[in-house]
Amino acid sequence: MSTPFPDRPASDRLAPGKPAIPRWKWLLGAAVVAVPLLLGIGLTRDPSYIPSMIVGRAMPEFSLEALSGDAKVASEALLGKPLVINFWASWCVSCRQEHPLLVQLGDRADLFGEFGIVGINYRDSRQAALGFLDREGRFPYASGLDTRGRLGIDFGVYGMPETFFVDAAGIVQARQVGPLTQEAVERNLKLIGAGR
Amino acid sequence: MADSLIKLGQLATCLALVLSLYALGAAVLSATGSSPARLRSARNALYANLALVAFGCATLIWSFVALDFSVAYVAQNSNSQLPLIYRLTAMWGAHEGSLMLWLFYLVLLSAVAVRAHWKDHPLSMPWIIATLAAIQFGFLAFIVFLSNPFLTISPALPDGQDLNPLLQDPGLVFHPPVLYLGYVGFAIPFAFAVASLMRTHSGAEWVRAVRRWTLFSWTMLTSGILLGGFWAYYELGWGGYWAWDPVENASLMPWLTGTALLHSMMAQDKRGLFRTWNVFLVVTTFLLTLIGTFLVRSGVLTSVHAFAVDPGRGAYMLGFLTVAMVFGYGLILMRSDRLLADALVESPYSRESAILANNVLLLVAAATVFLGTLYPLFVEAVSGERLSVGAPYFNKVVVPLMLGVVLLLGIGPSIPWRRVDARRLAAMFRKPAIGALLSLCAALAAGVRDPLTLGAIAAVAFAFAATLADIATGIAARRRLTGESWLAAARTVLSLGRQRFGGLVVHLGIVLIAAGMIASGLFQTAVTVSLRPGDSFELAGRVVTLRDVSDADGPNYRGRVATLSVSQDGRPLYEMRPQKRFYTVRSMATTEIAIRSSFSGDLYLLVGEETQAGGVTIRGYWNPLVGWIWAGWLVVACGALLSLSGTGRRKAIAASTDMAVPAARGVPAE
Amino acid sequence: MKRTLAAAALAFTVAAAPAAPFRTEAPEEAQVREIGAKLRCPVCQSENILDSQSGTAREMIAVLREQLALGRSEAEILGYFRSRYGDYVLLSPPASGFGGVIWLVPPLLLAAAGAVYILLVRRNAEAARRAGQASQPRAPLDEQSLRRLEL
Repeated sequence: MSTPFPDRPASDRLAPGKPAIPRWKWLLGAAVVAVPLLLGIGLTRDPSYIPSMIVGRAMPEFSLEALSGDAKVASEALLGKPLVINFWASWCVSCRQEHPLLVQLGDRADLFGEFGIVGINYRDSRQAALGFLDREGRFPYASGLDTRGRLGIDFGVYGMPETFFVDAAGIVQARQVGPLTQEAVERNLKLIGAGR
Repeated sequence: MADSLIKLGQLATCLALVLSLYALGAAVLSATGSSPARLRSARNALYANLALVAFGCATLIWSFVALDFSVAYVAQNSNSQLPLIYRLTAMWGAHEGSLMLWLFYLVLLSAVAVRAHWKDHPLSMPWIIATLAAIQFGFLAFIVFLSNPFLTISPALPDGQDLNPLLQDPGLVFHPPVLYLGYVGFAIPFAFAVASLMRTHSGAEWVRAVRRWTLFSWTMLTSGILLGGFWAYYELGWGGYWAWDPVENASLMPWLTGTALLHSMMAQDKRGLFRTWNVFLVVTTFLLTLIGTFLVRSGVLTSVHAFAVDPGRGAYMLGFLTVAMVFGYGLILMRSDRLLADALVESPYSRESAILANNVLLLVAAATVFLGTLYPLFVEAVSGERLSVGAPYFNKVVVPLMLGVVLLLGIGPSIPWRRVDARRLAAMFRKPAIGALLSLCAALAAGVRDPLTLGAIAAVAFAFAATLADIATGIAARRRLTGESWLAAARTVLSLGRQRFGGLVVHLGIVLIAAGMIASGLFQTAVTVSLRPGDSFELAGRVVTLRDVSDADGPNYRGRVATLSVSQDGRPLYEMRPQKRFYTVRSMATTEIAIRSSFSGDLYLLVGEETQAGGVTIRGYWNPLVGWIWAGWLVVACGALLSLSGTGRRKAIAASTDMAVPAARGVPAE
Repeated sequence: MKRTLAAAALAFTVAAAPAAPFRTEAPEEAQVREIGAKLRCPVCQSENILDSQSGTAREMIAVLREQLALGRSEAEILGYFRSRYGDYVLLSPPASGFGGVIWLVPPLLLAAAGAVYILLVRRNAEAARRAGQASQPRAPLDEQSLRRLEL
């Protein structure tokens, strides 16, 4: 928008050797094309999406109190085979949507042992979380309590639910923001070497 | 009955859509075929649109008053418990209704402009009407097809979903209507600019009309932005009034270019300079208002102020914006060579040169805000990465530019047109420079070391002293001439030189605003404490003691109020009662801030969560000189009114004096 | 005249520079606010973590306080959040990569616009001289007529 001031003396404009179209016209023309184009591209993007920083890096270590009150849920014990980490909360509406899929996934992990799965109950109270599981059905796997959301910050969590896919070497390979779908599960399991 | 009324409102709006298309066609035909009858009928169509849209708005307002929950928009934005005043203002509380308000202003200002300029702009009128009709058509089609506030639901809901609690505030009564008036007002200069490009002529009468409308729109935009800041300040509870949010930036950009326009129009008025540049500024300012609308209503950027998001609406707004941009800038590209300046900037030491410098700074600031706001989009489109350009960035880059503007604000009005001797120029500003130096020393003595802060204090002090000196010199000259008393001289000068002294008063207001912003932005103090009744804390030399926390329920919310007493040097001063509220229908919590304003600053308290142990979190801010911003707005408004009231008289006075105004040439073609 | 001005300047100075010290809050608290204002809340994305009411933002402030207590520097703390949420979390774009480009834009714009201004004024002045418009500098108007001209 810092187009040169277009007012020039007439003699100046007609001087020989000057380009026929002054520079400011090119700039203005370019702006007419560029601005709508950029805004148009912007319309097709989700402005609230934050790309994950953790994908391609080692999974943060953790050792959380278990929802069931049993032993700790620790990252150490889960390493060595592909791992699915699901952040969930009782206050999260779309967590209900992915719930049956997670239960199914947990059963599959139990049955075939091709990958491990663990839940992280995020910024929630034990009471509310247990009530949620009573209503929706228990997970066939353990959940750790991240009551204050500190582990969520380590994982770069910003929306609920979020699911991370970690390979056997402990490297995070994929992240799903929002409810899981069958298709997303299969695609991401393949990435961590646990697909069919 | 109510149901059929809202349907009539919809019918009226649809009819207005058809009429706007008719007016467009008739006006264009009358321009090419020069048929006065056709032009008159186009004008009458615009008048009819005013009646139709006013009726449409009235039916919508009536539906809110009558709590007709069969109207979807009413059901979504009101509730039987909502007080009547907020039911009235709820009309512009969400996307559809606020567009309706926008449209109402557009048809109102179109009708006023066409009526006011019908006689003195006969040759431009077809293009003015055509442009206004085209803009009306764009907004009407948007409302009728994509944002219809007249939709009904059957069966009617038993009760409404209530208005967003943040909007249940006197601020909503004033902020959007004033801001929209500012935005929409720039459509009139745009119509004049299109007409001047179509005719490749912008004479003295063009300047007069555009200046007046620009000044009006600028005043409204300034007021709207400041009212919005005021509203955020006492409603949102983060102790500030401006967050460089994309939507706030969207309102700042047309303000910056509009301010540049106000000044460079003066150069065209007095000296016939910058003709193409002014047309460019008019078009740009109007386009920026459209971009602002797009940013708010498309969801392309995240913002606290954004309306509910709908990609179809975004695509439409973008299409509309693109058409306006291609048309407006396209005309400039094709026709500007024929709009030549009459004169030259003769010397770097001249009013013209100062205005040019002012334009450079304001345009660089506008471009910076524009690029900064859209840069995250650009980076994502190019690389897929996400980054933020937020308040710390804008504070660092825009504030120095604006300090330059403040400095020029002190210099510009005193420099004569054409040229002045550099030595005389230096002599003129000796006193203000001493003032700036004094305040610089005072600030240094008080312990300020940050260079930007020091620069800001010096610039503001300089501009303040220079503007006061300018006003004083004018009065003194008059007094020497006539021997009147100071008071009488001041009165004559203010009433005779309304345009000039109105401008100086506006400048004074802007300096006050700048001082308030600098002080509150740089010297804010905050504390967060957990208190039990009887506990106290200290903030900015005041001791604040919590007395108790009690219930304070309202018609549509549950509330808790903390009573705090404030004392200074052992003397009790006053009590403050911040609240927090929970609005039951929308299950949304808000805070009601307690503010105590004084000349030197605001004490700003809000109440947070209560703990089991009977404690409560209190957050307190000391915001120095915030009141100056709102006081400065009053001064700006007074100055702008003074200036507006004088634009018509100027020519008559100039003609009566024995000296001719040096420029004001231009072809009297109309 | 002179006295009025001096008084005005002084009054202004006193008002613009309230009595020291400017900040009465604890330095740690001021630091929390300074750094917090540079971090965007990943949940309520249009606010910084100080203004945001979200739980994540509050926890981020808790982390910020902890790290300040451990003696970490501002750069280290910003880096901590950046490694988790990316550049997006920094309201002030980083000085490298794409973030660095936007920092260059305002100075470049100003330089370009300033160059145009100087060029234009100089060329204009020269053209005016050549056209003879200004060959005979007009007698400077006295202040009084200047004022009347402005009316």
